Amino acid sequence: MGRERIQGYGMPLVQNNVDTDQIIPARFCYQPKRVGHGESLFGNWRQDPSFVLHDPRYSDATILVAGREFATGSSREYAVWAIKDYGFQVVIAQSFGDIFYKNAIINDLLPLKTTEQGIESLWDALHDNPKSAIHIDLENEVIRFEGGTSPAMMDLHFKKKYILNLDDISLTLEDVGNIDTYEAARSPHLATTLNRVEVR
Amino acid sequence: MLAKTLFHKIWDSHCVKQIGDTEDLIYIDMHLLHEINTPQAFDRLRETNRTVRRPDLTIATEDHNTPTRSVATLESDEVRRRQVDLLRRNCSEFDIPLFQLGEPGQGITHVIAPEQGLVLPGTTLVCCDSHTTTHGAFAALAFGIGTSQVEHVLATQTLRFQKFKSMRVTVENHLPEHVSSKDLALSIIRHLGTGGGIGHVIEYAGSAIQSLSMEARMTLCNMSVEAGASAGIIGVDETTIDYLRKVYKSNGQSLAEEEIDRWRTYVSDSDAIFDQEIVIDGATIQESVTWGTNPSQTIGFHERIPSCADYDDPSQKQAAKRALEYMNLQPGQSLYDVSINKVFVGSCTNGRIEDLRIVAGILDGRSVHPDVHMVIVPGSTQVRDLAIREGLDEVFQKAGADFRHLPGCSMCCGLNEDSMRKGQRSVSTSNRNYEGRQGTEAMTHIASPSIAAASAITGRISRVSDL
Ligand code: SF4
Repeated sequence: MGRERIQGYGMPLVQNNVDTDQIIPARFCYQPKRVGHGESLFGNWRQDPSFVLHDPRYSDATILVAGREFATGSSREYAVWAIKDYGFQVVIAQSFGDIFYKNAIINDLLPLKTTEQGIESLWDALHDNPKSAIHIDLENEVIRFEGGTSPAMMDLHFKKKYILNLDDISLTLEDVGNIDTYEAARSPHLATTLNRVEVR
Repeated sequence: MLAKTLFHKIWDSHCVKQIGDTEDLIYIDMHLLHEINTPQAFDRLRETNRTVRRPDLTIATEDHNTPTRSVATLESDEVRRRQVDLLRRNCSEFDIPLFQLGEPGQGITHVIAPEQGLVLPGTTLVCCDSHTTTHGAFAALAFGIGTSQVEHVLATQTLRFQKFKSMRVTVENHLPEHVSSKDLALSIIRHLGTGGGIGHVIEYAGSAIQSLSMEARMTLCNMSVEAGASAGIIGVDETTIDYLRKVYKSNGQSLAEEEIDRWRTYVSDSDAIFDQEIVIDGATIQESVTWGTNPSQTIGFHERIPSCADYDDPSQKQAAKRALEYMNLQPGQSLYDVSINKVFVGSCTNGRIEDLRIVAGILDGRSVHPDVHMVIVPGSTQVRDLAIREGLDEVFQKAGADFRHLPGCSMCCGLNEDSMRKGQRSVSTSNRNYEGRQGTEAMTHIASPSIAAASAITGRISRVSDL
């Protein structure tokens, strides 16, 4: 199976506007590494034993199903790293914070948008049967689950990048000639940081 | 020629290459770094044998986790010390200029970059911090990025991006007396919601915006991200040019007149078309304070704390319920009923000299309420030094406020020793009132500097006109 098809169990995070400060509170963002943040995911909320992360019925979940405006707020990439480290491969939401969305793509965490109705049906399905599998078909842009389907919405070029597993920096460095040309034509009046000023 | 918005002018002039149908390769004129969110980018550079393409377009500062009383405190704190050390090591290895804690020029990234003259009209600027939107006040396209994008900029001085959409928020007339750009920002966020700006660059225009100072414009652009926007931006006018002239002069840099002429072109063409337009009557904006746990949950002093029933939208209902619980408030309460024990003046939103002057003007001859601990943290060493030169520190001291001498983010994000304790309640001039933002289970009310000062005096949320 290629990267255009993914399947797994879901976990319903029945909430809108989950900001990145909730996904990983700032005080947990001190490890200078990309890995090792799974234990910090929802650091404050998981103090509550009834929080969905502790529900054994969802312990095998690899797909997080959240509401709308998921992961707005701080630019911290820790939010993506923590979700991935915890074991999620996909986040389905009605909409995402801009920076998180981009961070997720770069880090190979698949951010999928779907409709409000789709989210609610997924929440219902996961509530009724926590072990019902979710099938994501990127090629046909559809999410299939017990009792329904919903569109899998993803920007086209992100989709391609995800399916082909492409790395941004290597791609950009192929265009280094264009960057050289652009730079050569930049105005000499633009600011540089070489003469930093000791403003008093 | 096709009429263009300011945002499109900057985007198009920075497009190194169009990639496919939707993504562009955009040149970055200035890249700001700080100690959080960056070590992983440098690690990967080393792993992949890449280097920093333009250290001369990159600058770093220590701000997020640093102490505000004494540099020595940093030495004794292992975790924070290690974060700062990593930044120092990475900057020295890759020849990136760095402002170390306490050095002249150091401060919050978004406060020092304009002071250094690094933010110019028509340029692009990025930083690993969502409030990079601040710099849009200078007609620059400035936005926050994640760590992997930091790595991308370090290695290539470019970013691959999908073009944002454009939105114009026109604020007609003038803001009433005592109503600040912070109140305007909170009102706009309340109107748009925390997601209303997603994917958009918001251009602020209209007579109310033109009458704002550069500091006030920075406050407004800073908060754009709280409406979900990718950036905020304001076209060049005489206020912009006067401010930049002063910056160049005080930094001893020469400024060519033709540069100024070029800057003047960074305004939207009069017939440019925006994807979305919103018009607001500035005269209707009121002094506002957040009551909840996101910056759209805001009310004015003539209103009451809402109940869940006040919202039609089920998700807003749910959010209101949770916020009322977290903030320990009752529907129907007035802001005046809310007692506080902390006040924070500072941050990249309101930690500039103009903000400190406003606060000093209100505290002069008055005292901070005995139940309140008022912390004032300058946004940069320049702000601090000006405050001292103007005698503001003495006013603060006499009033019983706790004025700190080392600049930084401090209580805004609660990453240093100033973070709040469980159950404490603040009025804060920063930008986020998320659950736990200023400390675990601490409660935050976001407001303007004048409301913060008035509240510090009365011990409850108040306006200057109530004193
Ligand atoms: S002051 Fe607050 S919002 Fe601004 S950069 Fe620092 S932590 Fe971020």
